[in-house]
Amino acid sequence: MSRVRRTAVRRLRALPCAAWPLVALLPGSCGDAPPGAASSDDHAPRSREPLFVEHAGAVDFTPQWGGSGRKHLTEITGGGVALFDADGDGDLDLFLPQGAALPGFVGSADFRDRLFRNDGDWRFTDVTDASGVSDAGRGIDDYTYAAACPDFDGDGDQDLYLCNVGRNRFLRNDGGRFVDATAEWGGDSSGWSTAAAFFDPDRDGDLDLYVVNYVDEDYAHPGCGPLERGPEYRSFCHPDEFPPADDALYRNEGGRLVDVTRAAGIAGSGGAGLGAVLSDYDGDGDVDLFVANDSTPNFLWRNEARAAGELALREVAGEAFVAVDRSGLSTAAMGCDFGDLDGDLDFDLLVTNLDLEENTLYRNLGDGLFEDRSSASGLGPPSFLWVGFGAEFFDGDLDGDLDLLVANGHVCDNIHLLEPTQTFRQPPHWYVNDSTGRFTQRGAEIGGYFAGRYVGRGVAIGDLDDDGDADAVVAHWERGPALLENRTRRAGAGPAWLGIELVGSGGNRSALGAHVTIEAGGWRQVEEVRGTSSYGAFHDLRLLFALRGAAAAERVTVRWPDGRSSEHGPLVAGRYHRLAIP
Amino acid sequence: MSAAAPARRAVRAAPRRAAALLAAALFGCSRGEEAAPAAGRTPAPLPDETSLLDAPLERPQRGDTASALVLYRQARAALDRDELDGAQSLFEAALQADPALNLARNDLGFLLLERAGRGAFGEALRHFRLARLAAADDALAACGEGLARRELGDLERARPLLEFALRDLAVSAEPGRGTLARAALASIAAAQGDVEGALAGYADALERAPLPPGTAAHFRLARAELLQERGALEAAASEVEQALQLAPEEPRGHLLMAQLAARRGDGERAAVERRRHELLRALQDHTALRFRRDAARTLELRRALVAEWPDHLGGVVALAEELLAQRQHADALQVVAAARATRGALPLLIVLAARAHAGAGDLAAARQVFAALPPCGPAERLAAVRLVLAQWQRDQGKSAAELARELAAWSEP
Repeated sequence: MSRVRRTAVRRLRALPCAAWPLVALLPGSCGDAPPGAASSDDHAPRSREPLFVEHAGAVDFTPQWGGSGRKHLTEITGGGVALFDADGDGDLDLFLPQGAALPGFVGSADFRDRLFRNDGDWRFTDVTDASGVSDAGRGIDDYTYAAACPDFDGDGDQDLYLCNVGRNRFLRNDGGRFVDATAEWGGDSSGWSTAAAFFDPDRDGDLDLYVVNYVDEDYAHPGCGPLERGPEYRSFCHPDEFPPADDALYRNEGGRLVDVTRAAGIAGSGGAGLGAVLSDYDGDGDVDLFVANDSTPNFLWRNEARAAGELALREVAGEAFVAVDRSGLSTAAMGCDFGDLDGDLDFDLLVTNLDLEENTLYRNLGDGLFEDRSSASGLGPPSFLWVGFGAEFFDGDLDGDLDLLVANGHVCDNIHLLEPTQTFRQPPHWYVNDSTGRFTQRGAEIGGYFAGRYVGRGVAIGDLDDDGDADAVVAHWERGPALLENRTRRAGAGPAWLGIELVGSGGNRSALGAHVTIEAGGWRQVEEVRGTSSYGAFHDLRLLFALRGAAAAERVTVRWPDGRSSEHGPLVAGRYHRLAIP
Repeated sequence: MSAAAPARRAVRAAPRRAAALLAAALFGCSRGEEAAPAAGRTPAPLPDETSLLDAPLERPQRGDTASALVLYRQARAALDRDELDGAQSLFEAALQADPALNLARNDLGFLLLERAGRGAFGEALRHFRLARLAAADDALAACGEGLARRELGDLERARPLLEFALRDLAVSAEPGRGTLARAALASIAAAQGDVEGALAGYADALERAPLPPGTAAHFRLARAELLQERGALEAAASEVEQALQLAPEEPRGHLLMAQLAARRGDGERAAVERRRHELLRALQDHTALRFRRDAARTLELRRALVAEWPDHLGGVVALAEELLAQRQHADALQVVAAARATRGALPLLIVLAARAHAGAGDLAAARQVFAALPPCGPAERLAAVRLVLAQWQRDQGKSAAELARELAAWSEP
């Protein structure tokens, strides 16, 4: 819609308007009282229990991005976050990636990637050194953007794959201690990696890997901007200034990831990728992959394999109408997530964008087609001013539909010099779904965190306190993460819920790509096990459902990633159920 | 013309990409722009910001109105000459002289809205808010504030402002801002789920003729999107067809037509429209310096568009223009000749062919081609001659005096 609006403003000045300067001299002709200019009642906090409470200081962490004033693009977009059970004790631990010294960096900083053990009751202990997760932070091979945490070797614990600006690393989890297994397992993509999606596109029972790469930044020529106005105007270059870096695809061949990028037709695709999310968007029983590309058309890799063992991904974003937004042009896509927003049992798609571009909501029409519903969904207009990064759909209020959390933060730390009405720090957004796919933005009334401004980046969702509602961790560029406790089910009260943990087999024990349908009280919901989604984030692999008052889910149907399916039930409300592949 | 003019022209040519284009202007470095970076780490972030939608403002005080009016008239004259930088500076000077001169403040606000760049919407909003502080019943300021808030996503507060403005007869009847206000209200209705209201609002705006073709096309595409959401695919396609008549190279129109064709099961049409969309997108989508310098890429895309869509005269003309811009005169002649073979001697094609000959230095051939130009008014003929000879002067490196001599020779009967 923004194109319409701006074009209209631009072109209508040309119309004859000899009279309009006089208008300012005329009083209001109808005698109506003019609307108030600054009524802020709509956003006033309401006196009720906040939905989210931030546990400030729960982790001792200050991110380091290794900048020097040269304004390398690398240093401004970091801020990933991963939630996974690192020590096998059943709760979610927290991994926070860090940068490294970029060219020009002077001095010292603690660049270690960090792992924080969940000790319960919102207390976390730094176990970085003991766990062996960290690197030396010496250069771009140690500059970590994001992590993915599959159980790659099927031994029952989650391993750790690190997306670096340089060579990626794969750490094997040996009982809570991480050992570099890159030489053995492969997957050492050397581009600027921003996301890693583990899934089983060839349905042979093990995990393959798609690595999202961004651009080939030229460190010899850092920084852009109107420098004739002064050195303080040096800013970060638009990514279009650099060639996009090809994504990479690795096929699992007997426990080793082999690069099949060229053979699979991934090479030369030309996208500047920042986010990725899995989904069986077309409902044909296999897993597809969406990649959010910054200022280049997005990718939608449709899985067209016809038999187990066949690897056939075809790029169909243009055909599906998710390559660009409704303006017909690409957006600065960053975060992305799928979710059934309107209860029609297929997955709609959100992409977050730069300021002066609305976030884009694509409604899944079925038959492989999407339609841009950004405006009608209520998600587009409120996002126009802000730079959206991480964004996740989850049922925050446990009313049975998916709400949305978006982390905002600009990509220029001196944007106030370049445009005085823009800001580096920006407010996070929480949107409540009315169950039909129409959203309303909420502010400080849902928690004090939402009254502040931050340079938001990744958002990871998980039940950190195992109480049956989804908590959130928002990573920031300029400060430690916000750990947001969901109070919907505080002290055991609150809506009925059902938790599901899937246990796959063999090389996909994490059941990444599994599709779950629950039926409760005559009503159905769908979800998928994705792990990676949105921007630099890895999430709780357990699935949470609200039961809308039902005491149990009568039936739960699981479509496993290898094509098998199983039915379970009834499953009683109020606990997690562990379902294993038959 | 200021150094920023090319970027501004680009912004005006493709306003949806204002952000990206201005980013290119602001951030799009030439490699020679680098300065020595400050030592040490990335600087600490800026101080806390206030919401630009609600930043506190003080009521403007009356100043030297007479001096301000003089500056205001100069600003208006600059605006009429399309000198936007000059107009903006003069409006700002007028407001320095008299901060309560709403004439200047409103004009400045609308100019900023028109420029549509990064930060411009917020600055426009500030001016309209100040104008309303100076005169609470200023309907034009309410209109501007409503438009700015709509642009900034503040729909709740935009709507009553626009409704208030449209109750003012002068604003309502004014063909520029009145139409804008109606379209903005329609877009708000759409965003708030009132599809019927939005459709009616855009229809109302379309009836406020005469609209520039591009604006009318955008209103029609907005209607088409709403009709598509409602499932009225045939009606939506009809709107898109009309929009593409008005703005054939609008990527949004081709994307929407492809989508409608796909939904109606017309795979062939969908594929055609997708290919056209992709070429037009690629032509408009990338604004970084490395793309702007890549003339070969533009030519390649332009050639592909003509091959894909030979019926589109605008595409042929754009390709010929690009070839002429790159001094590829023989290729330009070839493209124009092919078009003339199928379309006949259109004046546009005759002038292009004459320019190609002139650019190559063959003025005799240029004049021979030019002789086929159908009879037209002396002003039009002179403009065409100037185009041809300007190509000759630029490509052959001729002086102003040589140009003047040749102009005189061509002007003889």
